[in-house]
Amino acid sequence: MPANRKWTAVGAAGRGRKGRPAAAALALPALVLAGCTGANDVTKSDASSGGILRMGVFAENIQTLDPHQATSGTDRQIVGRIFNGLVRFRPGDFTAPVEPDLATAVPEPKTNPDGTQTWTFALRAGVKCQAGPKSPAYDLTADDVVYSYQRSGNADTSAFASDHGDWKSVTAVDPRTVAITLTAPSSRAVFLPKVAAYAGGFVVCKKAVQAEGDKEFATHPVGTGPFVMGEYKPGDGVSLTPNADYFRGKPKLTGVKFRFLPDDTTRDLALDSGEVDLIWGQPEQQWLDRTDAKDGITAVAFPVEGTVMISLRMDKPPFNDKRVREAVVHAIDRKQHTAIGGDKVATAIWSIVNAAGVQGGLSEADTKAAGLDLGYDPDESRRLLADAGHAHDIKFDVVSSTLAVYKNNYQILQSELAAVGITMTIKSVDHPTMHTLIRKGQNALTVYDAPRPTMDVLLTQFVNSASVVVGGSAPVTNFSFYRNRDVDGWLGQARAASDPAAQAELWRKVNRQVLADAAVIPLYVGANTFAYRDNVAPAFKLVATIDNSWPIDETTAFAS
Amino acid sequence: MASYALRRIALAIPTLLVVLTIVFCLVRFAPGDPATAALGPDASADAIAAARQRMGLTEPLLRQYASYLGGLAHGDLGRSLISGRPIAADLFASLPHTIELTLAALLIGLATGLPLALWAAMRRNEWPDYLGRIVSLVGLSFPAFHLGILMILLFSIKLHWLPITGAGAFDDPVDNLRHLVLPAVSLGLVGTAYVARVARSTVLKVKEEDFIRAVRAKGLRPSQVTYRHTLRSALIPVTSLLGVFSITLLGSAVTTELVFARPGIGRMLVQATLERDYNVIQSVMSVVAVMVVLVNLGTDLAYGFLDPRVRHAR
Repeated sequence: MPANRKWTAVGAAGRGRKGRPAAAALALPALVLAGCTGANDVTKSDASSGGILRMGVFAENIQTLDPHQATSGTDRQIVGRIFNGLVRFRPGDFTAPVEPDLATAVPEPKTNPDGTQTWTFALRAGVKCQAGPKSPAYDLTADDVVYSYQRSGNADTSAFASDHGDWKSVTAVDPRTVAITLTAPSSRAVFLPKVAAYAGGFVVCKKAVQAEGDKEFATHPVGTGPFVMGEYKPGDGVSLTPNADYFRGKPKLTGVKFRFLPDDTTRDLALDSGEVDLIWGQPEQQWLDRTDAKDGITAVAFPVEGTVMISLRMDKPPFNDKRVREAVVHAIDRKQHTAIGGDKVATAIWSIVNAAGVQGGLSEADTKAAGLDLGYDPDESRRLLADAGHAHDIKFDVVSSTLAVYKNNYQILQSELAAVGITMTIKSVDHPTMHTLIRKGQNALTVYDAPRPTMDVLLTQFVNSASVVVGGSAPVTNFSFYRNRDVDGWLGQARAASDPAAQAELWRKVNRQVLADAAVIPLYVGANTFAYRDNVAPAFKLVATIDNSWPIDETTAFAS
Repeated sequence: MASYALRRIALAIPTLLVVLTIVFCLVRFAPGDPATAALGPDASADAIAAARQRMGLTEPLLRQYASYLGGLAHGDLGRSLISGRPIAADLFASLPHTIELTLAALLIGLATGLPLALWAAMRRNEWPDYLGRIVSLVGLSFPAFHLGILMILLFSIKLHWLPITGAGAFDDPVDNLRHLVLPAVSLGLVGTAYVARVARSTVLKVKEEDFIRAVRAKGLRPSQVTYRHTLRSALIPVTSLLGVFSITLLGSAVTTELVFARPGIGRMLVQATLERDYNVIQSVMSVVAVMVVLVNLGTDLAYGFLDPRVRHAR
């Protein structure tokens, strides 16, 4: 790590030489001299005065720190430090069983005589809502939880209201007990993420929200978490201070500062120079290798359980013909697509649900055993196209985002399809425009990068009939226009299955059918990359993160 | 001079109105949706529809336009469609940094470009002239952002003299200056090239004018001829250039703000454009338009000061 250095004075150039122009030569070094007075504090983090962890994030600014509206990676990284849920994902491994957070235990649900299901949570004692700009600190009660989930279930105040579609009621049984009743039974795997410390599951402090109003709350969030909102400087960063009353213990860090460093090069350089301790990286093997090779720095890939996949629009030509869809499947070489990121960043998958991480997916062997081997075979692809009467006449346009994950995959796909006689023209647009256009059904073929918290959410949003982007009763991201009643039925059964094995088998059935219909072609699951200085040892085993976040909590500290 | 200034100000108002109207229309005709940007691409259609209503995007365009102009007339820049924050707070927190960077770059351009130009012109076809021309060529060819990265590698990474990112607090002038040096120099050296090139040409031209021969013949010292007569006349076209260049610097500041992670309205505008945050785009463009008008006014007034023929003309 670079040591602190004192600046040396820069000698003035050209003093006393003839001619006024020489005086101009003084200007630049004088400016540098003026700027170089004093010690350079850009090096190591200030561990000697308690340790402020400085993280460089890929963002221009925050959008909102209201946890019920925060959808960007940066916003989620910050709100995850300020708020809790009734339960939480294990830090560093969201694939592990959920753990109690504000609740004392993860309850078993009770099925009621009328077919509804109730989950009753007992709250910890002594959990404090932090003091806010317009509200004092106070003890969290069931009222705050009820208020939070009513708020997160309301489309006017929450981006996650649809998660509560099957919620019948949320009630405070007593000051430390909350009961959530669902209209129909739901499995642990499907329900518990909705009350976890994530998205709509975050619990806010009612008095703080009411005192500040929703708009102010978005910049002055108040929760129960290990860190308290400090200062926000537009275009610069957000600072958090430790919550001394945190129910898991006072954080070891004396603060956390998130610096907005949207430029990849600047972020790397800031880490190199010691201005920050930890950064978001780039999802590329080359970046990982290059960064990890630097002295004093470690670079890691930290998976997000999400899928990069291709949806083929089945309701109209050219992909209304199953032979053409299968031809596309055989034209794709997953190795080419995963080569973008490299082995550590991208792992090929054979079903929408990744078999390696979570129950319900299909491995390559599973697909072969089911006769669903749809591997790379351009000759077979050409044969299928000829059989369908489309040897060389399929041409279509797609819109792609300029983001690397979309641009790169579309470009590789373009050459793969060209090799079998399909012409795909790519029109590059900015990211928001791409999302708007593909939701109007503009693309015959859509590449999508989809991290999702549960397999139910992932499958429902991409292959359930209701989720069809145009014409669906609850449109989300079914770009295939895939409508299969059996699949819809299995998804509903899986949602309610109390036996995890039965649930997983239902999801596998869904995946097999989707592959058999060639509606969606799964490519790979990607990982986020981070780099940190060696004195920032992760406190957790890094297995998988749900929200692109680096886990920072009360146990995080600088290595001594 | 006063009536000249008033005429310029009077012309500025309709100009501003036209600019603001064009901005209002352009952002709304671009594809994309602030509601999707705010809620994320995977929000349900119902949530997006509710957000569009909250944002006032379902109102008739004319009503949105009237509301926008009415707000501006009252000095109310409104709230961001994406974050809900008052735009004025973020804008006026970022604006001073952009102005600071632009002014510093301009000063560096002038302070280095003018002397270099004068020196080159006075020593035409000698080594100072060749040096000046090389500096101009390099400065014009080198993108400011690339120069910025190279300076970071040298002064921050290798020498550990200066910080890379951020802007420094205004209430700590030393810290502020430390953070300003690298971005201002990388942006300002482009100005050096422009100023040196234009000023050299005009000085060479003015040197050959009859009135310069006349003042030399009257027996003035060479330094008086150069600085009181030659330079002052040469500054007139340079002043026009500086006006245009200041406006260009405002736009170029975006990449410098990005490389050095400095807060600024350039970055704010880029972010707002990507997110289709109509309110922020309109507000930032309003402020930029006012600044452009003020710069043009300042240039015209400086012109009038330097050239008496301009201020006395009807």
